[in-house]
Amino acid sequence: MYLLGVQSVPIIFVSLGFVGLMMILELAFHMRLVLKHDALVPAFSAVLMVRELGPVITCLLLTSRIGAGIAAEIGSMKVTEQLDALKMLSIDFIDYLVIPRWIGAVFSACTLTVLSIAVALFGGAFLATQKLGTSPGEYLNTVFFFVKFSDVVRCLIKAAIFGTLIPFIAAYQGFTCGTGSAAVGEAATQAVVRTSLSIIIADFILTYLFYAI
Amino acid sequence: MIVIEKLSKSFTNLKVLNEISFSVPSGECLFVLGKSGVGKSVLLKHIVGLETPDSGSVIVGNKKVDVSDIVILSQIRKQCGLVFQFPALLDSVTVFENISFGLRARGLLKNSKEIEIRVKEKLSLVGLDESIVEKYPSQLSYGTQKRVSIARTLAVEPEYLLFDEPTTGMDPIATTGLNQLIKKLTAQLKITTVVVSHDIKSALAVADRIILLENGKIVFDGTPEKFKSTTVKLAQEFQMGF
Repeated sequence: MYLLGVQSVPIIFVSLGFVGLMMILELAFHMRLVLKHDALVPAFSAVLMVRELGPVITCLLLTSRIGAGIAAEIGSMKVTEQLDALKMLSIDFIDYLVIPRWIGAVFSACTLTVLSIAVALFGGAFLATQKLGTSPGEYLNTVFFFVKFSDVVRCLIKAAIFGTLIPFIAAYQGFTCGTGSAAVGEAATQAVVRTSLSIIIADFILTYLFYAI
Repeated sequence: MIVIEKLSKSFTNLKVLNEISFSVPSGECLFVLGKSGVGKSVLLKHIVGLETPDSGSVIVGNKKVDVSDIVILSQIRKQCGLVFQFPALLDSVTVFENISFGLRARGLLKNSKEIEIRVKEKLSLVGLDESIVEKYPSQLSYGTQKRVSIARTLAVEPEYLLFDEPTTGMDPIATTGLNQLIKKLTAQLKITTVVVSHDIKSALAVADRIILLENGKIVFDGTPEKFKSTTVKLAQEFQMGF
């Protein structure tokens, strides 16, 4: 949990904080261009953050941090015969290696998603008060008016599913890794690529199921 | 008893084992010699179902090794202890946890005190003292890691002991110690031992019987005394190398 979640906090907070700032600037620019006013910028940015960017960016960053690590760790265990040693000791390496990482990744993904959305909204609120002339109170009122409880629940469901994809795909890459250090590196790269792709595809499917049907 | 019948294994286009047959009676110490890459480790891994044969069979005790039968495979693995070529210790846990892992996983010992006694006993058997139990594998030398891996294998008290290049990376004193240990285990506890190695000195000192592999076939099968006087070219080359 410490390795998977706590150590990922700085990179995720910094990234999502800047995403929150960027979103306010972009939405304000486009809304002024099209609608000639920017009153709904806080609402749109918050909805977009909770429904999409929060879980997706958090889990993509989590993938680059822990997905590669899990694949490399299990891959090197395979290369150095540690997996065979576990088999010989009658230890189920799914129980020993995958399940704890799965629990850690799901918990980390959900917690970090919520916290990173809070950081992004805080960043957005700061910029909105500076650039859009909105007070923090107005900003929060708009956010709570437009973001529904069901959005938060769906956001957590997305985070839990992405958090499940990360350790399982990474562990699979590690278990099927070839021999030698180059193969371990390749497994780590493939873990990041495939998990990232899976998260983006899963996000589309979930968004479709949640909001388009 | 271990019986290997017409065992064949290929990797891509390379036939590593070609219809190899032999048996290891209970209590015997067999050394399998051969050049690097001849398939010695592959042969050993077939005994515990870590490799799947292309054809042929392996019987351990009275059970046929079948990788698709998880129950039988698990029973066979519980009877066997394999010391890997690399120490293969789990990096993230201490020496104590590495050695006690199998005991807990197999439910052999449940009492913490008994586990502690067993761990210390096996460490002492491989010439290590208990001061290292709280250390992590990365804090130990390669030779010490190797001895810990032997202690881990011995901790579950297997009926069959399989060693894959056990003396690689060990100093001469540790090598002699290990040879004596293998001899003691075979003689006193009647453990059936298969050692894969290219250490001819250890083979001549410890083995009851030696098998020599070349190009996927057995080119010599006999006692160390016969090995010394055989006309098989590879056997002579091995002895000249020694």
